[in-house]
Amino acid sequence: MSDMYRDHLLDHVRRPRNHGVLEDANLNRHEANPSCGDVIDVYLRTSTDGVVEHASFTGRGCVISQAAASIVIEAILGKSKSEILAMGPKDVVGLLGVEPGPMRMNCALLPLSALQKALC
Amino acid sequence: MLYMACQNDQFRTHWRRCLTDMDLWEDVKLQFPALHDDRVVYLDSAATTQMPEVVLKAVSDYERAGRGNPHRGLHDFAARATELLQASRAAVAQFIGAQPAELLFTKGTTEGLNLVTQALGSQLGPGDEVVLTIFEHHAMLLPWRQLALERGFTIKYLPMSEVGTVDLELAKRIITSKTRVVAVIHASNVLGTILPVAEIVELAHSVGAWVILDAAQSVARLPIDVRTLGCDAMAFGAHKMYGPEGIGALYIADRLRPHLKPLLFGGGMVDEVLDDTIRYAEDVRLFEAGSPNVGGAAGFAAACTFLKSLGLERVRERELALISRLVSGLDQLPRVKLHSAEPALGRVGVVSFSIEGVHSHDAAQILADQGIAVRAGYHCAAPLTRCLDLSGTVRVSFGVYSLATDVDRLVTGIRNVLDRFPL
Repeated sequence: MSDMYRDHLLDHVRRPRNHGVLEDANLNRHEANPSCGDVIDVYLRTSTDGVVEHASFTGRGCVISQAAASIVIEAILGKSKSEILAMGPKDVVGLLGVEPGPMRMNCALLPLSALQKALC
Repeated sequence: MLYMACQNDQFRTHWRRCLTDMDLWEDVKLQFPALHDDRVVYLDSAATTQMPEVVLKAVSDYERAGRGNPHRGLHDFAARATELLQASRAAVAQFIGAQPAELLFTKGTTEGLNLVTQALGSQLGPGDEVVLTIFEHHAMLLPWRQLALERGFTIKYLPMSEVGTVDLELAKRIITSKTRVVAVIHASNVLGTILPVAEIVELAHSVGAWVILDAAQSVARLPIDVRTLGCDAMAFGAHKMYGPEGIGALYIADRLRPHLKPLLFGGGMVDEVLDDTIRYAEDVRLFEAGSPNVGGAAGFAAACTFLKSLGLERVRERELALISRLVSGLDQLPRVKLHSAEPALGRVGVVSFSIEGVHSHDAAQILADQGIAVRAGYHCAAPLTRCLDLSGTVRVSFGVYSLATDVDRLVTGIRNVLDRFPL
């Protein structure tokens, strides 16, 4: 059976961290994955020097996209805009701890993509 | 192979008497090299079908004998390619009850639908209406939506009825004297629903509107005769009917052809080019600029012959039995909700369902890990999935190689999905 659905990922789906609308957000972004229908809204509160002080998300989708949202957002708290913009697929795969494979990579990268677009 | 011996009518009749149904279909499956691995359960034929030996051979025979560019040379290679292209066109046309002069080759269903949409839609403007159904695939929906933005005409939709098809009473109110074109998917690629095309054609023609049909999912699953259906144009692709990728066909009724304009301009579409005049070809070559896909056409024709030799009525009968087995199997499972319309007779072998607490992508992944190929997601039909308020579905679709054991393995596979994702 698939190695993809590790317990820590399922835990992030069942108990998503930083889930919900961030009321004092100064940045937000909606992104969707057209093939499978994953949708995500990310909310960011950044300081004047571009550091992410708070972040949250809402959305629906598969385990990979939703776990990635929870995990990546946890990881970017306290990071600067330039640090987040420098993140790529390898960082997301490292954070997830599983290799999603070519067919699921879009799901895994959707949250980071939304965060980076929100910051730009 | 046994089936190879069944190619002519005499042997086929003989074998039909001798073989039980199960033997016949198992033997059909043996014709598909891609499915020889028993660990694989391929239930994604609505996305693309596999190719049988006879189709692979038709493509390979052409390539091995040597390519030629049809209508563009006097040597043997060009002559053979020209004859093969003509014969292939005739075979594909005959498969849907059309004349060769009414059938043009395209890259696939999407190109065919774009060609006819551009031609008819570019003549429309404010005040004109185009009627689509809520079931449309993006290949039909998006060309019309885009052209409506550019031209200012209005798109109206035939909604889904309570029993999951098109409501013909409502259709009578939506298709009016303002309607110029009615564009319909023959069988839904999400739910499998067969839409009442003949009735819609009658309504459309009564107000003088053209009817375009997307037959991508129906052409390999139902006996189709364009004269009986009465549509003015019909697009379909070879790769969903056991033929090669990259080739499709567009049927254009004689009465519609004068209204069409080519999408592409280039070699092969003209009779004469002078300094100040271009005299375009008056036959299907007008719409086939550029070097044709001869190998693809040969494979396409072989696929039509293959399906004809099986018999579409028999394919249909077989598919109904598989649908019935699948629905019974799914009915026994908790948390599984079937979305495809009742009764089974009103649908082709394309069945969608969702599983409570499991995203369709995750379900498809767990099934894939068990060797079971299905499709998950929106299936390029966002208006329909939105109308049903679904965040994607798991879609199972049958081919002529599908067996009852495939259905049983799928049902077991879904049980494993349920175990992996408890509520």
